[in-house]
Amino acid sequence: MGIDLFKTLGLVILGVLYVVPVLGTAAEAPHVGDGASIHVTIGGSGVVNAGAAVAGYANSKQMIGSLISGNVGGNLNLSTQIKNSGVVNVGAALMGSTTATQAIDTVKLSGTASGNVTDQVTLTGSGVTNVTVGVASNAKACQLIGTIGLNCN
Amino acid sequence: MRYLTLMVGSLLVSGTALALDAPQIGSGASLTADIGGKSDTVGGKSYAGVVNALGAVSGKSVVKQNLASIGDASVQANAKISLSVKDAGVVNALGEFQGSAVVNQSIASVEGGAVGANLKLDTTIGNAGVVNVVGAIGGEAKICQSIGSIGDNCKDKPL
Repeated sequence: MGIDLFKTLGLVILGVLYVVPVLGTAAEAPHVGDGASIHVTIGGSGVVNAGAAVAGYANSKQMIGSLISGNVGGNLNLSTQIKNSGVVNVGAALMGSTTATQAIDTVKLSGTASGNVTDQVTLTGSGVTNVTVGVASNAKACQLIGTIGLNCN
Repeated sequence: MRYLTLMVGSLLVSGTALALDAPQIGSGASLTADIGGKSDTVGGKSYAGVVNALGAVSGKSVVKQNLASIGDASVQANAKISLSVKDAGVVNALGEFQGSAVVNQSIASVEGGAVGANLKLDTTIGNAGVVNVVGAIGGEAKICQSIGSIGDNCKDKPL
């Protein structure tokens, strides 16, 4: 009886001790001060984010040079240049569902900037592709380039 | 005795985890990563790739690749993150059968924490490929790629 109680108590304590650190280290949305600057240059190369699922669910999310979430306490400068290259986001599902979300130089709805936001996208000789393919599936494709306040919900 | 040993060991591990706080970084922090391209010290070119990959048969798998990124940290003003990928490949990949998979690739990004004024994120991808891919059969897959961004791209449901 004593040994069983000891075992039970030990396992309970172990469970609590393992849960607490996980909760304590959970990351929150970032806070960034005034004058944030993001500059992305993609030249002569490919940037690919792809997922495929059979009888399952595929959710492909690609964000480049974007404020996804969090707060910027002042000015925010976003600029992306894509030259002679391809930027591709693909989601595909067979007998399931698929969602493909692609954002370039975008301030999403869950992010806030209290100062001026400058947003510049330059595409030269390049392709930006967001594709979702569903066979006997639900499919959703969402592409945001140089936008503020939009998301795919 | 077996359980006692396990408990004491876990207490030490958990105690250590509890004592760890998010890193505090002073002003003028600089993260620089150069992958591939010309090396000034060697005088030649490097075509090395950075690859993070996993194959799983069942269960839940997480494959995460972070390059020159700030996670849950407190960083003061004038932080600068510079990432340059030249003539090299950066790949994060997973093959999964029956289970759930999260494949997360974050490059030159701030996912969490607090950063002071004048944050500068510069990303240059030259003649290289940056690939994040997953294939799943009979399961769920979430594929997240963020390059030069602020926020956590992989936090939303599902998975």
